[in-house]
Amino acid sequence: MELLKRATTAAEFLYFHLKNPSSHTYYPYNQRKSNLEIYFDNLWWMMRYCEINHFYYLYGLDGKDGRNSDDYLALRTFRRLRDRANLVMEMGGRKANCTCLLRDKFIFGEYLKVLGFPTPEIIALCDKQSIMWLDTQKTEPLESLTQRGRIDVFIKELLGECADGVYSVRVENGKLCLNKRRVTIEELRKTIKDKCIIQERIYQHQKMNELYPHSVNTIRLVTVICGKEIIPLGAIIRMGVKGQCCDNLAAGGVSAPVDLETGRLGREGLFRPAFGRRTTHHPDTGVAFYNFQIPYFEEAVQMSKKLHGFFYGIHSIGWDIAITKDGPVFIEGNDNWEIPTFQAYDRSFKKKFLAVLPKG
Amino acid sequence: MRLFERPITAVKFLASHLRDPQSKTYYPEEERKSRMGICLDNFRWMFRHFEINHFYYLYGFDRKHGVNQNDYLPKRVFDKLLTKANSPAFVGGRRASYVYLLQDKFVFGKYLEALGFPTPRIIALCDRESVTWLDTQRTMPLESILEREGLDAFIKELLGMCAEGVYPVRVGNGKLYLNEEQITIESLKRMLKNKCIVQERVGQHSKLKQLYPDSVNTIRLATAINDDEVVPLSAVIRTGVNGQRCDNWTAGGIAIGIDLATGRLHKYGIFKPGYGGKIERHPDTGFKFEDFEIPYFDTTIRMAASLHRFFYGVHSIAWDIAVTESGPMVIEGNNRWGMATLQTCNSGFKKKFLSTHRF
Repeated sequence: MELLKRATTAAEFLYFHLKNPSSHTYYPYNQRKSNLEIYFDNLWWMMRYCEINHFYYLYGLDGKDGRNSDDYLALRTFRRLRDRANLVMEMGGRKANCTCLLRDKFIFGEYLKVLGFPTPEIIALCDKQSIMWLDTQKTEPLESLTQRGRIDVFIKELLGECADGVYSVRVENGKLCLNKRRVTIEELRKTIKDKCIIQERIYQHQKMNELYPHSVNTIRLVTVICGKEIIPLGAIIRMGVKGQCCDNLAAGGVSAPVDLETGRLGREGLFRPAFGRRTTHHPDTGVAFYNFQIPYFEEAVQMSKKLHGFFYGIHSIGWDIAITKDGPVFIEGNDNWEIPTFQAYDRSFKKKFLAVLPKG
Repeated sequence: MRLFERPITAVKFLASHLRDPQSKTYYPEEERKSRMGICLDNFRWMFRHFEINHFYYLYGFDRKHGVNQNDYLPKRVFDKLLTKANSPAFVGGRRASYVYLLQDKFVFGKYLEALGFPTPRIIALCDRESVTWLDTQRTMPLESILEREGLDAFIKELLGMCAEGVYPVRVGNGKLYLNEEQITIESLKRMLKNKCIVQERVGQHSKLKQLYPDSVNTIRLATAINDDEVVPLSAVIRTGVNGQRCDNWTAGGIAIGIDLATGRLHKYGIFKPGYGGKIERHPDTGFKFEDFEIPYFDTTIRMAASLHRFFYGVHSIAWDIAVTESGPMVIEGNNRWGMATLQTCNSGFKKKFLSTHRF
């Protein structure tokens, strides 16, 4: 049954891919392959890697400009390699999985705080019923949220991913707003599914506001442990669009490449296939990406390298870093970062990643 | 060959068990079973639980009266339940393994420091070649340890267990001492096999020094999460003997049960089988255990319970807690812990543990 389901999905995908290639392409003005070539390309990818290549057009593999599918890591292969290096730390004959340090937002925040790295302050731990305020270490009913004067925070699920389970919460004059909408405590209770953190909101640097002011536009910077050294592997910036307050690419945001040396943006930004194609300017603010200088970028790189030194059991980490007026602030770290956007911008990314993988 | 290995081990064990029951018993003053009775008991345990009961005499099963074997958890069953209970937890539909927080001494120490719980200060992270001093956040060659005049610390392997890979070091007059013997940096380098922490040494409460002054006598307190509440399961205090600096029970130390309600010691201390039986006084100091009140015990219990709430992904934890002049100090937490002393020294352990267990 499962096999049949997978075959049907593959056939549907191929049909969808071939239905109207010009509507999928990221490079409409370039010379492109014929439908048959695209069909065989995708079939070949499926047979080689046992996966559907959802990023075929994002990688520009439909063009005839000499892009080679061998320059791109299949997502399944990448995940296997990444997880093999990230999920098990071996030391003195003992094994440990260190990823809870990154995956649990409470632990991540507290760990960074004590190590002296900037991260938004966690005010409390909560669930449907109660809040444990960290300043008093007292557990009170959820209602106590409205009794603390002015509050401007995010409630985030402990193990949430991709902005899933993140709610903007404001309390002013005892009135509670959830994602800019007035709600009652009961409505908030219904929204909260599991254990969450309550984390202070941060405000980004004025220059980052110029790019797009409605979301905190975070840098995704990947660092890897390479022998005794920690090196940055690639960086992009993510921005929200159309008034969205979230910069997540999977939620429709746009990304742009960042030059690791200079901290300047590249010429073109990319959307995920379901949300758009290429753009040289932010679609809402009209700010051109090319040469846009990210403030405090060098500090962000240096800090990430230093911080990764305290996550010695994890080979590669994708850091989400906000830039505030005082400098970089670490929002989260991801052991399960993804490669498509990085290799879409940098054709040598596969090579760079494979070169730093631990042997064996 | 492996097929025969286990029965042979079992037969050897039984033979050694029956050889001289008199020397093995923890209860020489009580009426005890015959050799045949002991043999049958052990056979029954093997068939029921598929394990050799190494703690047969420790649990006092050789006594004729006053003990019910059903009140005790077999090691194999306990290990299985513990592993299952402390395995990756689901939080909001996503799964994560939290035991690393307890396994890695650096992460554990820093997490507690962040949460404001007392724990020995971690001064640096080091390996064979280098030391990262946390106060300056600078990485320097291992030799820089000699520049820290007055350093009095333990070097501990990050993932070390059971006092393995723990080295007490001191720097005085620019010289390095290990266990009060002068050594060179080169010999320290040879000893350090993996990444380690350099952690400040803690003193202990003067009352506990009376018990035994040469080791830091730590409380082993097990707590478990039961429906969002943290409950204490059982507690013992461990002390070293014969001038040993380590209080480890498996290395020959003594474990003495603590009454959870009063913080007072039970009448007897016990050695691990092979190291001794049960005693009423410390063999080195002559200190009488019964009714000795552990300082700050109530605070210790409350602290462990509120700390466990921050380890929400781990069902049951055995805390090692030192008691200093200013109060309890958490040395480490263990996700894999032995229950032999905890169930010997405190009755009702099995019932308590099973009632909190999340299957």
